[in-house]
Amino acid sequence: MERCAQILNRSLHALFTERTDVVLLGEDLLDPYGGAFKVSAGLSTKFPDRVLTTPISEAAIVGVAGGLALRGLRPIVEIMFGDFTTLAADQIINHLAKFNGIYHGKVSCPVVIRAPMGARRGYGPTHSQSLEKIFLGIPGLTVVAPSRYHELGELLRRAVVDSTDPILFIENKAMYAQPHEPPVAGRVAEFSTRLGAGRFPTLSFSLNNFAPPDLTLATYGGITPLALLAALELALEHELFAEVVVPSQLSPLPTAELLPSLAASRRLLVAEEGTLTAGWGAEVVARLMDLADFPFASARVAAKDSIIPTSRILEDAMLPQPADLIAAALKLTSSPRR
Amino acid sequence: MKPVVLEQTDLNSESAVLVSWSVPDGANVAAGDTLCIAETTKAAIEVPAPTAGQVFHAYAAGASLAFNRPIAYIAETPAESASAKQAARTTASVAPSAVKATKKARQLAAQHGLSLDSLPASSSLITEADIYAALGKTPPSAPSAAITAQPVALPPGGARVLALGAGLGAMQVIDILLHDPQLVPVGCLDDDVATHGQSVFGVPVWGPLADLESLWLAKKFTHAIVAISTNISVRKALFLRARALGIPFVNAIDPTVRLNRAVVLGTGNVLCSQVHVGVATVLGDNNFISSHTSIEHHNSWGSHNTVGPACATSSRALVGDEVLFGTGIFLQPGVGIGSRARIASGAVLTQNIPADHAVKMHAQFQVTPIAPAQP
Amino acid sequence: MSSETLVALHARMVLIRTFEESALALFSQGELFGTTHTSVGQEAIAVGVLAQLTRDDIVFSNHRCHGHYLARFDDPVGLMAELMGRTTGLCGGVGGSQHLQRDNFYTNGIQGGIVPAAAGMALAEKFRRSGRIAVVFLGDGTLGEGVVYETLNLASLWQLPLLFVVEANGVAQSTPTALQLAGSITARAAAFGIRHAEGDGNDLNAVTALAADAVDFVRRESKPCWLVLHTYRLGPHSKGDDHRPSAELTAARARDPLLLLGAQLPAATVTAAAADALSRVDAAIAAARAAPFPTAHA
Repeated sequence: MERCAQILNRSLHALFTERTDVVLLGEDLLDPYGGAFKVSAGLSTKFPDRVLTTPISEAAIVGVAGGLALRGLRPIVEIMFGDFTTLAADQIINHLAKFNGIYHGKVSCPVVIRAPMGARRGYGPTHSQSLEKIFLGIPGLTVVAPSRYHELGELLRRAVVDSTDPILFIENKAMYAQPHEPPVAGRVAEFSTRLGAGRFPTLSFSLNNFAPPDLTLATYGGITPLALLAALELALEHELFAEVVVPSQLSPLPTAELLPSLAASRRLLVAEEGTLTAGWGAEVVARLMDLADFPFASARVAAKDSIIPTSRILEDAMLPQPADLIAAALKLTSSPRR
Repeated sequence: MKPVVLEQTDLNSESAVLVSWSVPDGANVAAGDTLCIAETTKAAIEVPAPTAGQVFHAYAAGASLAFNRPIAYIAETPAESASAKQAARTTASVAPSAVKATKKARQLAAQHGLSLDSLPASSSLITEADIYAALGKTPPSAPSAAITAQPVALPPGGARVLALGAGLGAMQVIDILLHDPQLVPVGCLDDDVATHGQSVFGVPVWGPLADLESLWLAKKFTHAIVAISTNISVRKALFLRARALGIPFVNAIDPTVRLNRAVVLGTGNVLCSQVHVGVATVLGDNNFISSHTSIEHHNSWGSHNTVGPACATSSRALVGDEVLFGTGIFLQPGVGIGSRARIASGAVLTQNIPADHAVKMHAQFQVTPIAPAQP
Repeated sequence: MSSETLVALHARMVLIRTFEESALALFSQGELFGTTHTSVGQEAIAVGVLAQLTRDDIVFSNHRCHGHYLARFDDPVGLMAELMGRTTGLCGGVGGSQHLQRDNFYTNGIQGGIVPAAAGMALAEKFRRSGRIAVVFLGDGTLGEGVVYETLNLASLWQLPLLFVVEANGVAQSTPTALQLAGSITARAAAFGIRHAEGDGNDLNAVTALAADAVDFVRRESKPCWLVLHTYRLGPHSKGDDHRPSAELTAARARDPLLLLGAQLPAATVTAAAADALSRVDAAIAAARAAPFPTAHA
């Protein structure tokens, strides 16, 4: 089984072969190093003119990518650690995401910013964060964060070739080394799956063949395997069936799969690896509250509102674990359905 | 024979991925030869042969490996070859069972001696309902959903309550009612003619149960309550008969009863001294709960159940209708009891009991005379 | 420079001046949305630099961009409608004063942020070997932004055909340069190994000569160049935020680029240019007033 980093790497190689307008910018991209997480390995050897290893200048390289995209190229930026997106935030928010809108649709700015986020590798407070929540709800910016069960290579390809606006493409660091497990014949291990529509589809998992679930568990990205573990234990130990709904697009928030699941379950649990306050989960709950014409109960599981410690023991205590999801699910299902 | 163990080199990783074998299965290797490459999230690990011999793979490339566990076996002599190969194959086959079933399903299947492998292939998890289906039984019915917590609307001056029954149960019920100035017991009915003309704690026995309708039409009482504890079929029949006449019921709740928040109580229930009902528990109608019983939080009970003294359920127990509990019974969290089940005193229930089943105890007692003390 | 060219460039400078003074008046009357940044006193730079470019070259300007736009497109109608928030504005009234786009011309209102975008555009043209260059306008106030230096480094490292034009107008909004800028402006470029030049931004002839040389270098060598043009902002930063001493302003007005250039031309030419500009700007205002406001979508 191939690892997620290999899938992404192969997708990049295919993109470079398929199109001559694709360029890659980032720090330490040249072989034999091939980027900090090796996702860009081999590209600089095969396509030396289109792989630009850059100084440590996140703002400038994202800005340059914006200029390239305005002039018709399809640039991809590799930010070494997603934590460094803050350095490029002005370029992302005030430039790339704005050009199409402020120029009244006369230009497009299709930049893909690949940013490895997430913890569980012991990189500590400034190299482990899930900062994507900062970039949610920026008009003109699409935030994509696939799980390892999504068709990663295809999603990356679509981000690069099938877009007129900038896309922040979040790659979970822990996921890189994990096997890529897209559904085979509609199944992932014990789960049956359903793939939603659209460019960046939502993948749903069920342990009871999508019979009405006891709760809807919305999550994304690197924490998805933990959510599936929790769903499995809830079913095996408690006969509680969670429908795990995993969007690959975080913002704008797709609700086509969440709403029907929630209409059946009336209980929403949202799990994310980022810190709790003002997280993705807050938006999911609030948005569904706005859209639903039925009552439901909700709970959020996220990292504690603190820095991410380096020591594994402290990091584990700070991050959401399957046991936290299970406890929240049991609490949520202990009251009668609304 | 020597196992090849993947040592943990990286505390931040819980497992490694077997990237590739450097030598084929069954190959001869020298000590120190690289056998395979495994990768954690942080590093690639080359696993050396701990000794010379013939190596047998326990896992295929791509497998997820646990640390400090054998990943291959080496036969140091040709004689060990077969056993090393066997050990390797056994290791690999220690995989989770292909048949996944929920805990409730496994318990129920084990209780009936049903093998999970004998069930028809299913693409989803095997649940308790699947086991019931395979057994040809109906699952315990969920308690009626239409239970409300509406307080009984009492006429001015309180309810004038008729007790259905004038025996030992009636003494308990009337004792409870006498604590509540709003619930005034005015009479009893009983088919035992010996009771007629007598009274229970000053409350007269008016006559047989057949008089129920005429007394109701004569407005001799405003509410009723069933005052028979152990005979469940009679309890149920009386309750249904009175309800069919449109007679409202009251709950008889002893002042020492502790009802926690969000308890939902039906009507016609009797809750004796020191009973505790935990948070958010739902009780249906016409249940008789004897003293010192504790029904924990988030339980869901149906109707017409009788519970002996000092029983205790844990959280999230599910009890159907017309279940008879003896004395001193314990229920583990989440255990379900099917309707009409009968549970012997002293049972400790750790698994679901299907409907129409009895739980008996086989505790061995020996009663022997005490030998007189030697002088 | 031929006398016809000089007359034409003068007329364009007068148009910019007239347009911006009218914009300030309209702002006071409440006819403009938001704010507006004028380049009164800096017209020689806009006209002198843009005259050296072809229509294929790329221009990325900043918040103070009316002069650059009019120098390139001679389109007071589209720009006035944009400032007045009309559908006929060149960005449909969405962008407003600071966010203009047409053909190879772009502006954005974030200080310094436009600089790497311009570098990216120069890089795109270098990839294509098109021979086009990119020009980015920045002020001395913008030199406080770090991304400018990230981009200087990249532009030199990758030898980008990018001309930086620093309009050193002596003030950053309300803060005099002396209080916000240390060191030498040209030495900044020198430190990155970038060719640099500087001169009088109020003298159209000097601007034209320096810009012609710089543009030629950037195009021929495919290398960046840093052109510093000293000038003085005669108007406010935007509106109601000018507290400079009147003596300083009076002295500066004596070096008004329009005065300096007008002295070289016949009086009739100057008068005709003023009358023509006024009638064109008035027509632009009338057209904008007559045009519909955009409809808000649900």
